[in-house]
Amino acid sequence: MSNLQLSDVTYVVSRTLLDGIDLEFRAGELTALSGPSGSGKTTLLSIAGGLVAPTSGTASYDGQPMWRGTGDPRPEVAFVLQVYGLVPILSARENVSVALRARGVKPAEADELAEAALARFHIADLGDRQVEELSGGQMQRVACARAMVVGASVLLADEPTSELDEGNRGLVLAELRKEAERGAVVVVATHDPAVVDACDRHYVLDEGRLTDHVAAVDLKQFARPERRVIEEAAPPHFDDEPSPAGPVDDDHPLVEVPAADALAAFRRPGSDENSSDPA
Amino acid sequence: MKRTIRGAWSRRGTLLPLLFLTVVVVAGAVTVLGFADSAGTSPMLAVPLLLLGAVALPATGRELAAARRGEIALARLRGLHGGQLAALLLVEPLVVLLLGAALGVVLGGAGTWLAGRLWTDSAGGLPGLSAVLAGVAIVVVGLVAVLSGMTRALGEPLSEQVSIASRPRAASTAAAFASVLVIVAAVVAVYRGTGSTGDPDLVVLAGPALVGLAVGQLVLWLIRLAARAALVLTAQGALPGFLAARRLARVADAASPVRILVAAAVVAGLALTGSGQVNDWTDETARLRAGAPLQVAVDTDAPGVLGLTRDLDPEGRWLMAAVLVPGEGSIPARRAFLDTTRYEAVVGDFYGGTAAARVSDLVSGLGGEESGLTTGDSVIARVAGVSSRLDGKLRPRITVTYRDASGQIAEVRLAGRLLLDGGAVEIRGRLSRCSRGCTLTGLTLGRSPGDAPRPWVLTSLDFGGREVVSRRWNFVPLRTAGALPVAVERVDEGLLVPVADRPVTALADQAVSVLRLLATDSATWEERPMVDSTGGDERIAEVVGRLPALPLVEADGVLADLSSAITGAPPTVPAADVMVLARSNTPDAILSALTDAAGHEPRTLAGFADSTAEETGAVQARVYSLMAIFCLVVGLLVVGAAVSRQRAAWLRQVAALRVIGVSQERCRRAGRVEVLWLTTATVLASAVGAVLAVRLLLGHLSLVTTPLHSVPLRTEVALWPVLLTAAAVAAVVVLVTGRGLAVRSELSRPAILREEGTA
Repeated sequence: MSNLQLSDVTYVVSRTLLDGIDLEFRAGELTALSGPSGSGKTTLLSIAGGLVAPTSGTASYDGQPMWRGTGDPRPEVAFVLQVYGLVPILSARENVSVALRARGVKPAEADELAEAALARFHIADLGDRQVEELSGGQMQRVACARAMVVGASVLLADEPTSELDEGNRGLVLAELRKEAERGAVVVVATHDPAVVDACDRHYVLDEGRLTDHVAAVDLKQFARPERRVIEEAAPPHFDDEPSPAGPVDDDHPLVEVPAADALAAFRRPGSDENSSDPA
Repeated sequence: MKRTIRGAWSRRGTLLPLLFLTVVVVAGAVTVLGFADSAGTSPMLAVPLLLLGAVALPATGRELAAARRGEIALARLRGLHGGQLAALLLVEPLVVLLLGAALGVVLGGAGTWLAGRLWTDSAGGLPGLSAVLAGVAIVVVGLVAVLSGMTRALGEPLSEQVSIASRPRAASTAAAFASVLVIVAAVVAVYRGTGSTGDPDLVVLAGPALVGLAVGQLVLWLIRLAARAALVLTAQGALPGFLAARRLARVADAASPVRILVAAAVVAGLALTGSGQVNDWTDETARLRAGAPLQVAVDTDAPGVLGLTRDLDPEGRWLMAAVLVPGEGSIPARRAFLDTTRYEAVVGDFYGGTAAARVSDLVSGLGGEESGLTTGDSVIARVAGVSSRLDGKLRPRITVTYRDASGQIAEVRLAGRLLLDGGAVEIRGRLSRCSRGCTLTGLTLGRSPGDAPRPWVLTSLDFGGREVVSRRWNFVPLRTAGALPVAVERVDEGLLVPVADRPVTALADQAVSVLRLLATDSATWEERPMVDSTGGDERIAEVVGRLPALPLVEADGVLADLSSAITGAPPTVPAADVMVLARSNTPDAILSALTDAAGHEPRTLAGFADSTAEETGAVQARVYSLMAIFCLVVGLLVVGAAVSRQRAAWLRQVAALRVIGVSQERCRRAGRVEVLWLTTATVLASAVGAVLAVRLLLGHLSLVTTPLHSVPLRTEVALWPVLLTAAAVAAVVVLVTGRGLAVRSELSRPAILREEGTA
């Protein structure tokens, strides 16, 4: 399996959204991409998946550029979009099966696989429902099922757990882990520290650049005094920790962020939680 | 106000169709009403257009309300309800409706002026106050229609209104009721049509639009049902069909605009059919009334016009005498007489394709025996003795009695002297007042007093150029006391005049024979067929053919040969219309001489067509067609607006499909399959609706007032208007919907989903 390579990627529209990003998303690993809203996570995933052409630089996989000139992703790429991107005229099952049929799977087989994929996310009973009849969380799981059923070599998930409860979040992370273990490049853009903690590698974006940290917001100041005592006893947020690697520069472009112990179950067995090398 | 304009500009995608729709409906209505003011046509012809406009506008209201869901929610959170909320929402559409109405009145004024110039003799006036008031009324009704479209959005739960994504909801009870109501209204219109009295009826006039809407509604349901059935059938099939079936089955708006397009097509199909058939009817009626390409009224009587045509056109190539007696009381009393010997040359195939087309085949059988009518001015008799004589004088005397053109009896006396050898001698005399035709009525044959008692023979008698000795005569016996009656006798040499102490008489046989007729199908007699001549005397008739219509008498009456009819007839009745019919290419010299003699200008077929159209209101069919064109524009706008409204969702759908690997070509094919579905359904619905409307309603729309005796207006289904409107509808669906669904790669790239998410 190949890695997904981003070389000096810059993306400028009316302002610079991404600026000189050099990254390698490794096959077989679950990589987290975090950063404040508007930092460029979605744009980075779009360029990495070939939906958007970078202003300069390249995104490539297996030696081939991801941008094909039309905005269509390569067949080996699957997306979980932040807005789900479900086709509203199709039922939940059809949304999943169409992704398979588009890749040449026979309709009957595609339906069976779709049913199984929905079952992996505990929504097999919703297969016949129309998209608009689903809740946000259900739609998000259909989107996940659709992305993971095709056995893509590159899986790019944009906030795949934003609408999910803790249990379903675990379910999704477990499935993402399986995709990584299959050898796929799995990248997850997220704001959720728990998801970050479950990943093998973590990159932080801020204002279109890779950085070692973002300014922490002390949420505790908004809590009631009696609750503040409880919060202070909780494990620190990853952003609260100073970077052990120092500032990002050409030699040290990345930050290695420790994952939380609470989600250690989703990590690859035997992986070192703080051992990701810079690309 | 500035805020309102800014808001309206931001929603121009929705408001522009409303503006265009208002302009078209108002312009159409003002044109119809304005023309009705000036030409006397029915203002109610605008009803189908107004109905389609009223049905189309609520959709715009719904869309406007949907576009302003957030604003409505905010206003409700601020405490605005009911009237206040409605007032807030109605400002924008009111401004648009007023602007559209103003533009529509201006365009309608231009339409009125143009229609007046093209279709009437008037200079083309501007619309009156009624048309402007109609424009205002349309604004008010339009506002109510828009508000009714907004009602559902206003009643939406606030919790749903504030959510970003709108959830589709099942059709409301009111919408379902309205759909059923349209079908019921169509049935009522058809029912009322069957009992129509001929006067314009509002419901019947709205009938074609109602039938169209009903058929459109049924087709919508059929499309939806068929698409649902296709969900199963396409589940294992190719992706394009799979996607198209699901879109048609699940997207409420995908097929709904075709309802109004179908209704417009039905109105247009009926209008085209009606217009075509009214035009045909007008042309046929004008031809029947004209008799020939040119008609010149003549102030004379029947023999006079016959003589006139023979003088001006001795060869019989250009002119034909005709008399129409529009007698009332019975259909045979309505009679026309033509100089049938000239029919082929003058009329030719003028009636080709009409109900009187077969006249040319039958007219040759109408001519009776020679009538004896002449326009010459001399009479020449040849007399001879039966043998030579030894002595004595023999001085034959002949009195020729005839009727001149005015019906007056006149006579000319001839006297000759036979030599002893009895050889033939010629005696000449002059006819007076025969330039316009004279008819021989009788001969009195005798001898001078003191002549030898010898018979003599009238071997020939040239009466104004016609040899009459050989014709049929009634020889009146001369009775003398104590002797056998004597009378003129026909012999091989001519007419033998016997020896008698008084002259003997031979009367021309005026009952030439039975008068042969062509009769319309409507002409009946209780006993033996009889017909009045040009002078009103009754003749025995023989019907040699029946046709649906005949020249000059149209659908009711009889046609006979003029020469036969005038023979021995009394003076022409005053009610008779005496005329000369002429070929269209009659030489100017002949035509000029004819007009000089007649004192009237020729009337052309076009003139008859115009007067017929004016008399019968046939121009209404044109106005109806014009209104139908406006209806088609409304249909086009509705489809265009709906496609434009759906385009964003379609782009997102294609982008969502592309992001999971469905190629753009497959998406395009899915669009083509959908267009094919819609086109097929719309074309079939338009054709079926048009056929239904023509069969059930066209005859009851009172597009034309068919006068007494005229041929009936045919209201059967014609193929070309149905095909033409179906083709127009197919073109609209293929071009508008097809173009809406055929998106460029750049516009539907998957990244637009990302942009939407970050927006």
